[in-house]
Amino acid sequence: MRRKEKEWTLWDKLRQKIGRLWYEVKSRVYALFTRNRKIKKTKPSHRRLKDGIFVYLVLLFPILQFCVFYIGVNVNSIVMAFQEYDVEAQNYLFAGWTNFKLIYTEFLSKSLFKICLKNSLLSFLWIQLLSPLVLFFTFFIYKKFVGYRFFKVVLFLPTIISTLITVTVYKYFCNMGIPWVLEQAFGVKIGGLLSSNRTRYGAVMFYYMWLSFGTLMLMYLGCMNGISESIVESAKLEGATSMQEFFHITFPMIYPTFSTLFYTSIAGIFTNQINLFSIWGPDADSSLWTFGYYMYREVSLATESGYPYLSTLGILMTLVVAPLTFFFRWSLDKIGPSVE
Amino acid sequence: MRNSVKTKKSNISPFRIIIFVLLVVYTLTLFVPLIWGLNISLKTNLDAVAYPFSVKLPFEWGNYATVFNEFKVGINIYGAGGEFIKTNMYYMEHMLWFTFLYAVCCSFVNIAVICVTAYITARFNFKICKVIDSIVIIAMILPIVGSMASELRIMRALGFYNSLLGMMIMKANFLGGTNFLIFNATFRGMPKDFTEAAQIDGASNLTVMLKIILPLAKNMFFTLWLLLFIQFWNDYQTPLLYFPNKPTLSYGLYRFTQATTGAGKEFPIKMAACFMLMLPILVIFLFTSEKLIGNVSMGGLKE
Repeated sequence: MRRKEKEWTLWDKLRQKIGRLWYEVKSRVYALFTRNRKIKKTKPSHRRLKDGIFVYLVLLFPILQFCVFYIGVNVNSIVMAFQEYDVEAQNYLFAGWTNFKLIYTEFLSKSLFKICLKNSLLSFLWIQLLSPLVLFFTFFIYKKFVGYRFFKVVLFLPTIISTLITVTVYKYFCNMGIPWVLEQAFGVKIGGLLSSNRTRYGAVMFYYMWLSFGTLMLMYLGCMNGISESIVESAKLEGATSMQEFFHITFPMIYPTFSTLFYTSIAGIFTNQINLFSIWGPDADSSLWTFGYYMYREVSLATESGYPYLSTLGILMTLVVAPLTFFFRWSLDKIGPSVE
Repeated sequence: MRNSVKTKKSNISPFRIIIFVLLVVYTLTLFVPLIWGLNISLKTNLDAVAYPFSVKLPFEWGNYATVFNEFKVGINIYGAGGEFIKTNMYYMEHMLWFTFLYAVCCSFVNIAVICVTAYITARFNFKICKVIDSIVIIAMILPIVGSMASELRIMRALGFYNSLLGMMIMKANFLGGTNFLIFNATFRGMPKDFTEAAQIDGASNLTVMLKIILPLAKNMFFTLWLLLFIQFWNDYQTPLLYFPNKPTLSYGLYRFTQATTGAGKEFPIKMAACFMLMLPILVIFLFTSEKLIGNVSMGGLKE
């Protein structure tokens, strides 16, 4: 019985489609021989033509720009990965897989790449560990905690003040201020926190997390402020506590922001410089290097002959990070909480 | 009344007090180094090293005068064969001009292109509009790492390297991510009645865009432009890479803070330079804080 019904439905659908197609053909043929077609079609098509000219004229520059500086740049990056620079002839020559092989052997032998990878992954992990704490604190500011306006303004400061300025102040505060305080208070003599081998990494990571804390809070706060008051009010009327409100309303509502920040930080594994360039310029200690720092440093110091190697490295990083980003985006969308 | 008193009492829990104290500590840690740095910038080098935490009167305002006179960047000019030709010195006024061109003009061009493209994709129904919408989303999600070398090569090939006009063209893209989405949502939300009425009166598409729709979004345009302007003002890595022969103030500050010779080798002078460059941004923030705060968001909310 069921099978029969299914067959009938398929047949019915087919008949419907044929019917529609036949009707369309008939009406088009009819329209060809009648004046109605001209009267009906001319006006909208004239308007649409005008709109079309306008749209394409306005978009001409943005599209051209996109073709050169996005598509062109990335295609060129791929092409450069298979090239090498001939210094004598001053042009690029096809080099096959040489750059890829070179990076592969260097990755196995060079400890610098391993240090970069370790530091890049650690900076990502530290920020992820910080996220729950940030969410928690932001929730309290969002709940119009005492002085929340003041906190909002202060949290905004790292966004507007140049990293170069805060970094310079922090650098001297760590190297001169803190050792002086410790010496005066406890009689302990220590070197500058950013110049001593023992404390350098901790001081850099602390600074990175310290600033990220404020920036992340600001992101979440902007999002939490967008939650409809009526939803929160109705939860309160039903007797929800602050914790229930956080876990059942606030977090599920801001989940898109949470997941976006998560997968953009995955993308940032290979671009994050953890402020090394702002602190030391190109002379940061190699034990602190991240891939972001390495890439920027090398590009800023390299001549044309170094570009193919750096392009290859960039492509390899993209090949690692792009699927990871898509995978996490897909998984986070799947496991996301629902607003109850 | 009783109920409200009860509710207020229950809001002040030890847990909340701890959170409050931690937040205060955090904000203090943001402020203390800055105030310390400001104090250092008003001392002589000897005082700064010997007494980094005391307030020394009278203030050494001369540090700021030194910065004003000595804040300079020397750029070596090389010939086509790589031979050294000369060193060009750039002072604060030159850097201010380059900063104006980079921070004001590039950010304006960038936000204008994003705004106009978002307007077109939001208000017109053409295939290209849908394609552009998709491109923006894909570019937001798809991370492309390390295309700087390729970008530099293309800039050189087009003659845009070391050119601020070239930089403006490079920055004039519609891949504004969140900014594009904000404009797009705003233009989609605007009723079509305005435009239709104007078109019946004979207004062209350009008139509708420039005289009706864009003025309605001018507040948002201004806020997003301001945020971008601050970002460009503080950016020293792009000038360092793409137009090193035209130093901006931030690039100059980078060179000044890394200096080991000249006036920049003394750290109170470095601090003074930092605070001098921070001043314009703080003044802007003072007048526009209401507009700026709350506009920093990413990802959006669940429907």
